[in-house]
Amino acid sequence: MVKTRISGSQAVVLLFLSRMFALLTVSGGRDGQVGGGLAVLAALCSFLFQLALFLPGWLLARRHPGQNFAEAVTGCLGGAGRGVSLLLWLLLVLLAGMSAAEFEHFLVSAVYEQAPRLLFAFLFLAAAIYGAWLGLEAFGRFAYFGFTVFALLAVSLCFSLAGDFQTGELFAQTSASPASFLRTAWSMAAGDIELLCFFLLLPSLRTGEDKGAPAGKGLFFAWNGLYTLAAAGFILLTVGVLGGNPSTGQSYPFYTLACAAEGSLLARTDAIHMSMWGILGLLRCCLLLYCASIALRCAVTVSSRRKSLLNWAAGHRTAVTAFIAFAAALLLAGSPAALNGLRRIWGGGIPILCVLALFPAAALVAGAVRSKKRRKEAAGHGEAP
Amino acid sequence: MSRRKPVAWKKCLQQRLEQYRRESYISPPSDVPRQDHLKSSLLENMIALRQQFSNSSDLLNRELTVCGLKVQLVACEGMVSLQSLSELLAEPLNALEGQMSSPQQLLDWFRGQALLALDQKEVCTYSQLFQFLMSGFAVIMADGLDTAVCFGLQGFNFRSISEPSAEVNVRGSREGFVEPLRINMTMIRRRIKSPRLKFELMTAGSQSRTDICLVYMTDRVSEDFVNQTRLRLQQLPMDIVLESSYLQPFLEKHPYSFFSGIGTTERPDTLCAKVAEGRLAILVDGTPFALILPYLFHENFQTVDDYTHRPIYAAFARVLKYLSFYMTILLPGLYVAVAVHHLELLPHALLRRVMAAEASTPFPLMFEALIIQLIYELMREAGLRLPRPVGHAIGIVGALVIGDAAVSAGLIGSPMVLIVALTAITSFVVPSLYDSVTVLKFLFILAGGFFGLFGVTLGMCSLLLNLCSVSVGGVPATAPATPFNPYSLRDMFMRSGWRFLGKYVFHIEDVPGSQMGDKRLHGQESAGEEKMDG
Amino acid sequence: MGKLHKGSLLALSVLFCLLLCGCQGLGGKSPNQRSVAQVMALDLVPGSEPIRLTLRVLDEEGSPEGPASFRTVQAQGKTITGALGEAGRQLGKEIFLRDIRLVLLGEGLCRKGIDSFQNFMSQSYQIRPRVSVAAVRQEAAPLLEADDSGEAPADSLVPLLEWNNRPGNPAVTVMEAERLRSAGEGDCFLSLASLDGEGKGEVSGAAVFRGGRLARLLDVREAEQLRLLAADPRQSVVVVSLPGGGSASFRLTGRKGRLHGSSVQNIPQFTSKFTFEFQLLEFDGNSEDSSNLEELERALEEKVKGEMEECIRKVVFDSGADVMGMAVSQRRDNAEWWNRNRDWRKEREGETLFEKSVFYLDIKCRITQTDVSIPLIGT
Repeated sequence: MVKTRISGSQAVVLLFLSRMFALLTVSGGRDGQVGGGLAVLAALCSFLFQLALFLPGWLLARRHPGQNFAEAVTGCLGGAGRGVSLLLWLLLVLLAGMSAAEFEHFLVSAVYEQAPRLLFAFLFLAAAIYGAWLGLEAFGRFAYFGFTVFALLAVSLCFSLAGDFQTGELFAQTSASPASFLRTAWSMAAGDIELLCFFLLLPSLRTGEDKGAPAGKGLFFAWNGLYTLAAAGFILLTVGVLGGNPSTGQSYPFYTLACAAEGSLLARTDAIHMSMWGILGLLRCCLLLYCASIALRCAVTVSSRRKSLLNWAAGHRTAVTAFIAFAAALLLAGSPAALNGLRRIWGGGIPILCVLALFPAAALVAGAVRSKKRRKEAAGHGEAP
Repeated sequence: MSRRKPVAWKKCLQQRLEQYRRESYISPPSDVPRQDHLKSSLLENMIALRQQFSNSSDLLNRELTVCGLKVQLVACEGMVSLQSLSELLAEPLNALEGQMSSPQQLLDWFRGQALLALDQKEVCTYSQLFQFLMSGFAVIMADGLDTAVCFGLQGFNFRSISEPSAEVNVRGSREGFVEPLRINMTMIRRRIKSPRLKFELMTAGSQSRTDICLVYMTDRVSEDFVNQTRLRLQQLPMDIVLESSYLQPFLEKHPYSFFSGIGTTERPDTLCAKVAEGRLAILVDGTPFALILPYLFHENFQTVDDYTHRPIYAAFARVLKYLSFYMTILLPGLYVAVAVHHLELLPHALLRRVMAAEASTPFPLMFEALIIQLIYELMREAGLRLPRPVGHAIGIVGALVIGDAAVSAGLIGSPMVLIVALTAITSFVVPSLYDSVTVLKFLFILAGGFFGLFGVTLGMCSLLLNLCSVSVGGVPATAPATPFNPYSLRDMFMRSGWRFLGKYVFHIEDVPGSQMGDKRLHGQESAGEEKMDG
Repeated sequence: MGKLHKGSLLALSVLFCLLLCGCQGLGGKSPNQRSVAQVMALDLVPGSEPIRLTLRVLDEEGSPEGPASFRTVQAQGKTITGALGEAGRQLGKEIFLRDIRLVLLGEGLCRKGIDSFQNFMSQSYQIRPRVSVAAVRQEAAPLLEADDSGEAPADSLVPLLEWNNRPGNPAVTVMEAERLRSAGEGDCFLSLASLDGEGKGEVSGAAVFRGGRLARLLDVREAEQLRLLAADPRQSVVVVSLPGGGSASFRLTGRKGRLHGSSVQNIPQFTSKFTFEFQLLEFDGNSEDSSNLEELERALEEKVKGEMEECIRKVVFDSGADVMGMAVSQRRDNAEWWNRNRDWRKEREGETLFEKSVFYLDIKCRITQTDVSIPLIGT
C-alpha cells in the first residue's frame, strides 16, 4: 500500500500550530503559578520537560524503525499493547472533542449567544473529520496556509500593541518559590499531546533517512523550539500589555489582546483572531482525529470473518471516531464544570506521563525481555545435537 | 432447512441491483465485422462496405479501370480535397499506361513507384478502413487485392486559425488551436523544434474513435506518468468522445473536487511552455481545447501577458487576480455574514448606510443575496445563448431589472447590488476558475447567512483542504506554495525578471511533494492512499 | 457516480429543510430586525426597578444620504440587562449595542456604585472595547431628549468625549481594566457632562470614583488639573503668568516618565519623575525680558507643580481615589511591600496607609513646539 508522506517542515508547522491552539485557549484560575517575567522564564524552561517526555518515545522509535508508536507498543506488549492503542485512540478522540468544546464554549458565550451548541460542535467536527479523511498530506499542506495567517496576525498584533507594552510589568512579581516555578514550567509542558502525534506519524515523515540521519530528532527540536519561543513571546506580550499574572488573569488572554489591538483599517481585530483561532482548532482536530484512526487501526485489525462491534468499528473508523468526538464535544461544552475538570486533569500531567513515559518504558522492557528470550531459544536450538 | 446467514439479504439486494443496471443499459450494436479481413473480391468488399454504412448518402464511390484492373475509389463526401484528388491521384492513375498483369503489380506501383500522397497507408481490415475513410482519406480497392490503400488527401472545411476566445492577451501570439488535430500538432512543432518532442497518436471512444494525441518531451516527462496516462486512456469506458472534457474525469483522482489538477488551454504557446516543464499535453480531434496535466492551482492566475509585460506590472496583475478570486467567492458571503451576525465589525458610517438600505427590504439578507446572484446568473446564461442581435437587450433589461426597478421597489438594498456587480466583474478576471467560483459564491452565501464568520471560516478551510488534497500524477496542485518552494516567490505571487527566471529551469517533477516518477508508483495511483477507513 | 449522487442528494435535502424552516443558523438577524443604539444613559430611580435606561437609537426609516435621524426609548428594570430587554420589547426589535458611542451615567447611579455597569461592559462582547463613558450631574436622561430639530444634547457630547487610551475610564481599554483588576483597585475618573445654557451638552468637569463609587465632582479648573495629572492632552491648556508681566498659554502635548513606588518603614512613598512637553500657543509678554526659553520653562514648572500638588491633595487624598495608579506602581516596583500590604486602604488606628503616602514631585517642563513668532532666546 502506498503510504502517505509529508515533509519534515510540514510536520513541524502542523505540530506547532496544533500546540499554539492549546496556548490560545489557556484560561486563568490556576493557582500556585508564577507571573510576570518569571512566567516567561518558566515557558523557556518547559522545553526541558518536553525533552524529558520525548526521550522514552524516541528510544522506542529507534528500537522499532519504520513503526509508529502504537505499532511498536502493540508489537512489544501483544494483547496489552492493543489495549494501550485503544486507550490512545480514546484519549485522542477525547482531546479532539475537548478542543472543539473549548472553542465552542468561547464562541457561544461571547459571540453567538443564541446559537445552539449542537450546531457548533457538529460543524466544527464535520470539517475536522473531512480534513482527516482527506489524508495527512491534505491537512499537512493546509498547515502552511494556517501558519501564514498565524504569523501575519502575530506580527500585526505585536506592532499594534508595542505602544502599550510596559516593561515594568515584567518585574512585578519577583518572589516565587522554586516549587511554583517548576510547577508552572511543568504545566506548560504537560499538555503536549503533539509528542504522541509525532510518534504516531513518524513513519509518515519524509525525513531524509536515506541520507542516514536518524529520523525525526531534528524535527522535535525544530517544532518544540519554535513553540517554546512563541509561547515565551506570547506570555511576554500578555504580561507586558495586560499586566499581572497571566495564569490568574482572565480567560482567553490572547483574545483580549486582539480586542485591545486596533488596526488602522479595522475597528476590531477580534474577528480576525476568531477566524485564526478556528483555523488552528480545525488543524488540531484534524491531526488528533487522524492520529486516533492510526491508533484504532493498530488496536483492532479488520477481519471479514469476525462479526463483532469492535470489528465493525475498526472497519468504519471515520464514522466511529467522528461520533465519539462529537459526543465528547457536546457533553463537555454543555458542562463547564466537566470541561474545567478535564482541563485540570490533563494539565496536571499524569495522563501525558502515562502515555509518553510509562507505556514506552513498559514496551521497551517487554521488548528487551522478548528479544532476550528469543536469543536464548535461538542459542538453545543451535546447541542441540 | 439451513438457516440463512444474517447479511445474505443485503448481498442479494446488491446483486439484483447490479443485474438491473446491466440489463437496463443497452449496449450499442457491435460493429460487425470489426476485425474481419478484407476480401479479395472487390464486389464483396463493396457490398460489405455499403452494408456497414447502411447505405449512407455521404459514402461516395467510383469504379475505374486502371490498366485493365477494376478499381474502386471510395471517399466520404466533403472530406477529401477534390483538387488534390484530381491532381495527385486521378491524373497519375489515368496517365498510367500498359496493362498490369496482377493486382499485386498495381499495389507495388502504389508502394514504390508513385508518390501520390505523403500520407499513404495500407489497410487489411474493415475497422482500419472505416477509420481512415472517416478521417478524410481517399481509399482505393482493387479487385483481387485483399488490401486497400488509403491516401491522405483531406480537404474538409475547418475553422481558420484565429485568436483564442477564452484566453485573450494584449501582447503575444494571436494563434489559437483549431478543431483538426493535425493542424494543432503543426502549431506545436513549429514552436518547439526539438527532436525530443513526441506526438503519440491513439484513439478514444468505442464508437467515435476520436483521434487523440499525447504530446510530451521525452527527456523531461516522467515515463511512469506517461505510461499511467496512456493506460487510462486505453481503458476509457466511453462510446463517444467529442471534447477534451470527456477525458478529464478519468485522468484525475478527484473528479468531484471544486478544483482540478488538469488544465486546459487554447493557446499553442502556453501548451509548449507547459510541455517544456515536463508535463503531458493531450490534444483531442474536434476541439481546440487541449489538456495539460499536471496543472498547478496557481497557474490559473497566470497569463501570457504576465511574461510579456514588465515584472512590476506583472506582479501587480497577479496580485489583482488573486484578490479578484477571493473577492468573488468571499465578498457576498462576508457581507451577508457581517450584516446578519457581526454588525459590530462595520464602521459607524457604513453601518448606518447598511441599516437604512436594508430597513425596508422584505426578504432576509441571505435570501436577497441568493436571489440577486441567481438573477445575475440567469442573465449571464441568457446572454451567452442569445443570438447576437438580441444579446445586447439583456444588458438593458438587466440594468433595468436589477439596477433600478428592484432597488426602487425596495426589494433589494443598494449595497447588495454593488456587491453583485463587483462580484460579477471579479469573476471574469480568472476565467479558468469561473465554474468553481460560481458555485462557491452560493455556498459561501449560505455559510455566511446561516453561520456567520464562523461558517465562512470553516467553509474556506474546507475549501483549502479540498484544494490541498488535489494531485495529479503525484504532484500536489497547491505546489509550490505548499509544500513550500522558493520558486513560489519567483513566479507565483509575482514574476521575477527573465534574467533571473531564465537561469533556473522549472521541472514539474522537482516540485516539493511531488511523487511523480517515484518507482513505488509504477502502475499505481499516486499520493494520499492511506485513508482513515479500510 | 453513486457516491456523489447520494452525497449531493443528502446535502440538498438538508439545505432544503433548512431553508424551509427559515432556520437562522446561529441566531443571526437581518439588519431590519435590529435597532442600533448610539447613546445610552443610565439613571438610578426609586422603586422596585431602580435602573432607568434611556437609549438613543438610529431611525432606520431615514434616508441613508441625509443626516441620521434618531429616536429615544426609555425603559426600566432591576438590572441593566433587564432594562435592555424591556426596551427591546418596546421597540419590537433586538437592540444592537455594538455601535454605542457614548454611555452617560447619572449621579445617583454613580454614588450608588458603578460595579454592575463595569461588569456589564467588561463581560459583554457587544460593546466596543473603547467607548466613551461620562458621568452626569443629576440625571442623564435629559441629555438624550431631542428638541424640535431632532438634535439631543448628547449628540454634541460624542465628539467631545471620544478619546483613546486614556487612563481612568472604566471601559476605555480592556488593558487598563486588566491592570486595575490585577492591582486590586477600581478607582478612576470620568468626564462630567451637563447641559449648558443653550441646552447643548458640554463637558463641565470631572467625576472621581473611589472603589466604583462617586467620591467627588470636580469643576472645570480642577478637571484640567486632573487631566494634567493623567497627561490627557485634550483641553489641557496651561496659562502662565510671566515674571516680567504678561502671560503665555501652553498646550500639553505629551508626558514622559512614570510614578515610582517604594516604601520607607512601611510607609508608601511615591516619586513622580515627569517630563511634560508643551506647545506654546500664545505669548503676551515683554519680549525683551520674558522671551528667554529657560524662564518660560521655569515658570511652567512652577505652575504645573503647584497645580499637581493641589490636585493630588484634593483628588487623591481628600477623596481617597487612586487616580494616578499608585497601587499599580507599588505592585510593579515594590512587589514585596505590596504583597504584604494589599489592604493599605484599611483603617489602622484611625488612618490608612494610603493616607500616609508621601509624594515627591520631580517635574520638568519642556517647550518643544511653538507657532508663535517671538524671538525665544535659549541658552
